[in-house]
Amino acid sequence: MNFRKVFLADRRMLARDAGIMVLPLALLFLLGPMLFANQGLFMELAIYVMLADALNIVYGFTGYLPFGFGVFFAVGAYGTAILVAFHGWPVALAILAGALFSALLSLLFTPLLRLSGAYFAIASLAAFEAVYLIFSNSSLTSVTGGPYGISFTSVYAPNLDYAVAAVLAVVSALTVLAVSGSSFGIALKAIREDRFAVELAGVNSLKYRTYAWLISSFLSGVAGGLYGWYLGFFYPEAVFSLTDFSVLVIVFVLFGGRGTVFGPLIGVAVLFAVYEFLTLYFSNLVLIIFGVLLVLLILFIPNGIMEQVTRLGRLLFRPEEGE
Amino acid sequence: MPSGVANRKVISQSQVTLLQQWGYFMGSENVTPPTGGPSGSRKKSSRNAIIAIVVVVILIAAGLTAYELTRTGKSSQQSITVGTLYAGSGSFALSSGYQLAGLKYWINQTNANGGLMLNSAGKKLPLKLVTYNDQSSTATAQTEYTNLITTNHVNILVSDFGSTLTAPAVAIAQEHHQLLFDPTASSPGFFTATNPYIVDLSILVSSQWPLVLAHYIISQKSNITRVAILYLDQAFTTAQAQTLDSALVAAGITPVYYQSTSASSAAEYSTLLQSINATHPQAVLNFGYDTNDIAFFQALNANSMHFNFVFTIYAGLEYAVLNKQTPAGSLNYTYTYASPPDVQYSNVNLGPTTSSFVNSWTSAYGSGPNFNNIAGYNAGLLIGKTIETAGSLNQTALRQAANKLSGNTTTLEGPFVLNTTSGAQLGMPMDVMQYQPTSTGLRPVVIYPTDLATGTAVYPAPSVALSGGSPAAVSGPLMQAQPASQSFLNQQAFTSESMAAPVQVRFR
Amino acid sequence: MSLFVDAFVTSMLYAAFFSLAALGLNLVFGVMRIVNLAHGEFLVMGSYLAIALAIHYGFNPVLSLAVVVPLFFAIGLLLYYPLVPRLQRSDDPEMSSFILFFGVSFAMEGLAVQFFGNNYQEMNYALFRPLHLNLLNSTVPTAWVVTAAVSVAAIVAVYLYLYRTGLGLKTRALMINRDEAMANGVNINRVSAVAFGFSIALAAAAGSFSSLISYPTSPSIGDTFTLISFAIIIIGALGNPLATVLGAVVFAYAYGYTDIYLPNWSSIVPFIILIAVILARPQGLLGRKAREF
Repeated sequence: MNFRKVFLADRRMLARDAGIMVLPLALLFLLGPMLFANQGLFMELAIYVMLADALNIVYGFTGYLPFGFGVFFAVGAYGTAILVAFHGWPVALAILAGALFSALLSLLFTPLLRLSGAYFAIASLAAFEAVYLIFSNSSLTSVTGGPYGISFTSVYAPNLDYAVAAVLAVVSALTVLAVSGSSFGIALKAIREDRFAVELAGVNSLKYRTYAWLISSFLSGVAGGLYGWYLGFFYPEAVFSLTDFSVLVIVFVLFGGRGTVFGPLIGVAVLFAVYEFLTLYFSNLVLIIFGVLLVLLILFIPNGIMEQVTRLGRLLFRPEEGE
Repeated sequence: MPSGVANRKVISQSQVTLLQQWGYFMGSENVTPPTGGPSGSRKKSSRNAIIAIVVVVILIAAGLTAYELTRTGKSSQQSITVGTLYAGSGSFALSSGYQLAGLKYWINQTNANGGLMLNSAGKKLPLKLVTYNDQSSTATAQTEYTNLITTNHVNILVSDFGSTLTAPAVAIAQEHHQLLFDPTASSPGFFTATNPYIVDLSILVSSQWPLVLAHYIISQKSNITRVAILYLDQAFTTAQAQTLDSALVAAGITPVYYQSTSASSAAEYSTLLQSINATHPQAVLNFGYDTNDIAFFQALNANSMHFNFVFTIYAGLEYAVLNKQTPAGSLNYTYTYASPPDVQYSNVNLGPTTSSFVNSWTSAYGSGPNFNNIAGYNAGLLIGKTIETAGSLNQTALRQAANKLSGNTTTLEGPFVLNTTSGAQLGMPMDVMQYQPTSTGLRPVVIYPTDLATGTAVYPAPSVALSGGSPAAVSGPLMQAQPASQSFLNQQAFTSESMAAPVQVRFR
Repeated sequence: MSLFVDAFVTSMLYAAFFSLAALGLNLVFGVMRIVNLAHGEFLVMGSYLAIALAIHYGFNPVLSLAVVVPLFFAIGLLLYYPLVPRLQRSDDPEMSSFILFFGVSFAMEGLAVQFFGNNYQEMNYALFRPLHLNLLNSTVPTAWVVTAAVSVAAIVAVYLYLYRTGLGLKTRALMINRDEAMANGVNINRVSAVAFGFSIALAAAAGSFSSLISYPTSPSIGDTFTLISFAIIIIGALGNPLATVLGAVVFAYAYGYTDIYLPNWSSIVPFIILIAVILARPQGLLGRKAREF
């Protein structure tokens, strides 16, 4: 692959964006746990960064919103856990293989990509439920641990896990940046805007969407493997949590601004912080407050915060450009 | 990837929209459209603005979170901090709330008595409770457990109700060398010889629950040979079903129906029951959570079905809920695990006896405690005793103290017996009881083991054709529970008394 | 009285309940293309209201429909105007509605916990006399038969509304092509608001019976209803009430017969059927318009 051709965007700009992206993330992951001892919070943040990036590749760039997106996360966690607990694989290899499982599963689901909009969303949700019910089924206890859950605490190493997750979260953000700046990413966005025009130009849009789907599921699988490792022992519900690893991620991405490079990161950083703050300090009202907050956000910032930031930036620094 | 040339042609057509909508490529000269786009220098500064704002927003968010979360700081030596989670909503909310209420009751009671004696402090210290709401989500629970340990620096870490919400705490507690006091999580998977930082206080390991029950059914082999077992696909229920199944098979009773399900609706239970009914079982055992039991009884009533022997878990564990939310008369002659408050232990040497606890609880809350209330309170009692025995809040010392208490402590929940290497609970057995209607309502009659029995079983359960609407206790020829007899052999009781006794109770 | 027939009858009644539960969602999704993730929560709220009416005033759920349906229709109208029209300002209204109603469902679950607690609540079977009826040689509770009858009535009502009234014609026009309908002078907001009101009222009506035939009512059960309802309307097709019935029949019978023959896999089968249907006929079993793009 020729890099000159792949990256349409100015490489100097890309490098600068990369710097802007890496610096705050690195600071956050490095200093965060020092300021505030709850490493688990930052671990989850890293996981959400990866998931938001993964979702952004498939939803932001192609316009396909999979409700049941969390299935790849869960399969990654399970793949890792099964290989370590039942087959004695080393963790690093198991996480990689777990992510490959997720990618394979996404290949199995590619026929769903033929569907449009909400139908695709619901079909992926059905796929999520079906896979969850298979993994938690007591008939498969010997293969997946079934309802008993799965334990691989023998290799539990939260600090190492956190370090790896933090690095990979940064890497995943850079991946989105690279995809966005590549001809591949532009093609995806063109497909999202007008698929027919793209098809007429002789581009196989299904192939492109499949690639995006594969990258996204692989990335989710890695996140799942790392999270599973961090838990050490988990039940099916812990990783197959629709609210935690599908819906919240979608909310983060939409809030930040889908299809943008920085949006999902900001979405995760802000909303995750708000959500955790509410759960820790207003725990009895968290459902109501967070619910109302989401309603207000979508009503008043419908296209994500990135758009507002851009507009604000124009107003502040170039008032004559403001609306 | 197809050649870049073909791509670029297409792309340049949609660039304008992309640029304007997604704001990313601003400043990227290569893709600047010939007309309509803002000029390079302008873009640069608005781009810088974005960057500045992005960085500021992220840092502010991080800073605020960090500040708010560190504010709680370290707890002073003036009190003992007890940290726990509860589910304020979601599928575990009900049971979790019961457990927390029990624990809180113990804390209030202890503080009313001036606190706990701590030798290392040389005085009695009051207890301070820190709680977070995990909303039945394991992901939330995971960060909140970490928060309790790392920012609240709790002295005593108590897990939430049940195995699902305890699971995320096990590895964290071990990693931070913090002893996890576990009231109601009984999954065998938690307890290993390599992890000394967990101790199961209030319930028997779930795979051991049906041991007494299995023993009882086997002892009734002359009456019960056709057994149907339906269980929910969850660790707690699957473990019990499997133990029971293998115990029965070993004794020569192969269940005629042995299936798992993930159903929880009345209509589905109805079909499952029809399928069970077709195997003509004498005994039907349903292992599920409260919501499953409600649907099960509803379906039983919907089909007007009757079995000689019906067993469910939650009929006993949450009697008040089940009795209120199932069709009238559903629980008549139902078998369930006998646990406190229905089982009373006479040799209690720690805390109140069951009856005095029930009295004080009832006068405080207006209704009697259920099993999970008692489990939460019992956990508190044992935590208190463990702290006093250890004399310090050193986590290893606490675990050793718990081991010391094992085998010579009996609370209202029964004997406290630990597997001292793994921390699993082996005491607090689950006995078998049956709800028998009396003129004043249902009476829980412990029927097995015989030394704790308060009456004899009524088998087969009389078929009660329900008129509905009326409460469980209605006029008519009702079974009177047998008086407790200390030494009768259960086998005898079946052959002589109850086999002769069955009365067809019908009102319509 | 064979096992097969029993399961057939039970599934038939269950299918009728599912139709009622999903009918409202079909209207909203079909007309406005909004993903109402709070559908199940409205159903749960209706359930709480009906149970409260039964406990305090001894209302039979059929009687309480006289309170539940108008009240929730009004709530639907009141919620429509501040929430839905604003959604159109977003680039992708369909997906924005996802967050919006996820927020609404979060808040409603929170409110249900605050007001009703986490206890399970059940409607009393005994409000229906006689308790049991004989249907195709199978004993079934009267409550389930009544549920099915109400469901059939609701389907007929929606059918009449769509095919026999002026507003219904406009509603169908909106379902088929929003832009053309607008060009032909259809007042989108008015038509949509009424459809939204109906949708919420139908959900609440289903809720009045839900604890009798399906799950005990609790704040957290809403998601389950939402998920099942979505699956049903996708299996059927959008817009057509009969398609919802067909989707419900597929779902209920899939549950019913796997519960007999393969109980430990029963929950999976409906979802596998859903995926199979959606791949074989993306427009749904009764759909005409292609859903692929």
